[in-house]
Amino acid sequence: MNSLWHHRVSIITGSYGSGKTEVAINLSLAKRSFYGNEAIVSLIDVDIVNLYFRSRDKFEELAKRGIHVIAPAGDLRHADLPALPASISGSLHDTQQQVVLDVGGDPAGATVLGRYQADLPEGSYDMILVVNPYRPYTDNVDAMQRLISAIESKSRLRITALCNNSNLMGFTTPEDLLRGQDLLGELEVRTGLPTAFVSCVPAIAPAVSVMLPNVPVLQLGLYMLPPWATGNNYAGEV
Amino acid sequence: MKQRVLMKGNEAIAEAAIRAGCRFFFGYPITPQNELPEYMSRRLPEVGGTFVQAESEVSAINMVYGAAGAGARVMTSSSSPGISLKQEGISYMAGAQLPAVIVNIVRGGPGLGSIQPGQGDYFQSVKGGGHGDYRLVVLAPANLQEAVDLVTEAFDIADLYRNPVLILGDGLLGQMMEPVEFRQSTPRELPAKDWATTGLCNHNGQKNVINSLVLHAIDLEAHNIHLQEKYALIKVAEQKAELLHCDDAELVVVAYGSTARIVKTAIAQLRDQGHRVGLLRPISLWPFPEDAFAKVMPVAKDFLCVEMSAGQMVEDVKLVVNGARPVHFYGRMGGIVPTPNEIATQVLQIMGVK
Repeated sequence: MNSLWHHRVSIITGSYGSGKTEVAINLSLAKRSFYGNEAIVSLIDVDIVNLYFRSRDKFEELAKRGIHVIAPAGDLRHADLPALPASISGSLHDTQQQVVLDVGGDPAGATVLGRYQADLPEGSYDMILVVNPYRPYTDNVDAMQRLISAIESKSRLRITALCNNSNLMGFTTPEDLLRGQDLLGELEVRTGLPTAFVSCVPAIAPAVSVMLPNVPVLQLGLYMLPPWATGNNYAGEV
Repeated sequence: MKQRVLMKGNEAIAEAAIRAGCRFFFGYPITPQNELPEYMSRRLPEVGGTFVQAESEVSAINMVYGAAGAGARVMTSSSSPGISLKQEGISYMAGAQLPAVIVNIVRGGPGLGSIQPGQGDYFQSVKGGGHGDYRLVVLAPANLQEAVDLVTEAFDIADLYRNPVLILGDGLLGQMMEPVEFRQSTPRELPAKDWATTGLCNHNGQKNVINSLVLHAIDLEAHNIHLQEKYALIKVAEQKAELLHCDDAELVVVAYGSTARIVKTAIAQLRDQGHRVGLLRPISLWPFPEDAFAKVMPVAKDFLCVEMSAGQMVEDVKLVVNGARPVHFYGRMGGIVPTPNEIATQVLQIMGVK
C-alpha cells in the first residue's frame, strides 16, 4: 500500500484557495503511476463553488496522462451551476476504479458531498483536509478546527487526515512548510487526525523531506497556472 | 508567519479596503466577484463595520450614496451587468460629489455574457457609464499587490477630490491567487469632510445638504463648471502608467490589467530574439496617461493595442497618438484570454519579421 492513501477513494477538501485542485490532480497522477497503466483513475470535479482554475479546465491534458476527469459536460462545464453528472455515483461504487474527488472550497463547497454520503460508508474513503496556513481564516489552529467541524457537518462525512500545503506560491521556502507543520502538529494533537502528507513543488521537495523526515511528500506539478506563466512544471510524482 | 498572505484577488481588494478604513460595504452577488462581498460579510463585523447584502445593485449603490454622504469610507463591488445597474447611482454620486470606491470585476458581455474574464467595460468605465457630464477616476491593477496598493490610494483620491473612484479588474484578476503584503502607504493630506451630513452639532449648526438636483440652469451650469475644473486638476495630477523596455522600443504594445501581464511574457520572448518591443501599461485609464505616451513617441514607430475586447482603449490610444504613428489592434472576446504566442505573432507581423 502507498503511504499517501489507505482507500480507493480519496476526497480532497479544505478552505477555498488552499490548493485542493493541485493536490487532487497530483494525487490522481500519483495513483496512476502507483497502479500502472491498466488502472482506471477518475478525478471527479465536484467543485460547484469556484468557477476558474478547476480540474475540468485540464480535461484534455489529464486524459492524455491517463486520468479520467468526471465533470459537468457541454455548456455546463463553463457554468457555476450546482449540476453534477450521474456517472459520479458509478465511479464511487466501481471497486475497480481509483477515485479522487476534488471538492469545492469551504463548508459551502463541501455541502455537495452530503449528496454522496450513502455511497461513502465510513472506513471506505480517505478524506483529506488541505491546509495552507498562509491563507486568511486558516492561519491558526482554532480556525482550522472550526473549519473541520463545519466541513464535516455540511458533508456528513468524516475528515480522516491532513495535508500540509503551506505555500506562498513561487515564494515558498522549505521553512514555510516546517512552520506550517508546527501548526498541523498541534491540530493533530487536538483532533487525533494524522498528517497524511506534505505537498510542495519538486524544487524544494528534497529539503522538505530532510526537515520533515516522518511525513511523505507529494510533489506538485502545477496545472492551475495563469495565462502569462511560461513553462509547466509537471511532476505528479511521489 | 511572514508578512505576506496568499490571497485571491477579490479577497485582497476587500482586505485592502478595510485596512484603508472602509467600514461599510453594500453589494449584491454576481460571478466572478462573489468572494469580495463574501469576505466583507465575514471581515467587516470583526472590525466594527457594516455589511449589507442589498436586494439589488440599484439599492446597493444608493446605500453607498448614503454612507458616503455621511462621511464614511464605503465600497461596493459587482461585475459587468451589475455595474450597469449601478450607473444611475454612480452618476448621482458624481453629481453630489461623493467619495466612494466601486469595484468592477469584468466578465464577458454584452448582456449576461459569460462568467469568463473580459475587458469590454472600458467605454462604460472611462466615458461615463451613466448620464451627464462626469468622470470617474478609473484604476486598473495588473497584479494583486498593485490591486491592494491601488485600493488604498483609491480611497484617498476619492476623498481628496470628492469623487467616486472605480477599480477596474477582470475575472482573472478577481479569481487568481498571489501573495500580497499590506504595507503602510504614505497617506495623502486630505481635507476635512466638513460637507458631510453628520448632524448640526458637528458643523457649527450649519445645515449640510447632499444633493445632485440643481433646478436653476445658471446654478447647474456653475456646478458643472466646478466639476470640470476638478476633472482638469485630476487629469494633470493622477495619471499613472508603467513603461517597460520603452527606451529603445520601435514597437510599443499598449495593454492594461491581466492582458498587460500576458503582453509582458510575449515581450520577454521577443526581447530574447532581439526585437525592440516595449510595453506602455496604463494604470489610470481615466485620466488616460497621455504624459507616458509623450515619453515613448520619439522612438516608437508603431503602437499595438491589445485588449480582451473588440477594441475600446485603442480609441484613446489613437486620440493621444493623433495620427503621428500607426495604431494597430489585437483583441479576443467572449472570455477568451489571448496567449503570449498570439501577441508575439501580431508584433512580428507588424514589424515585418517573417
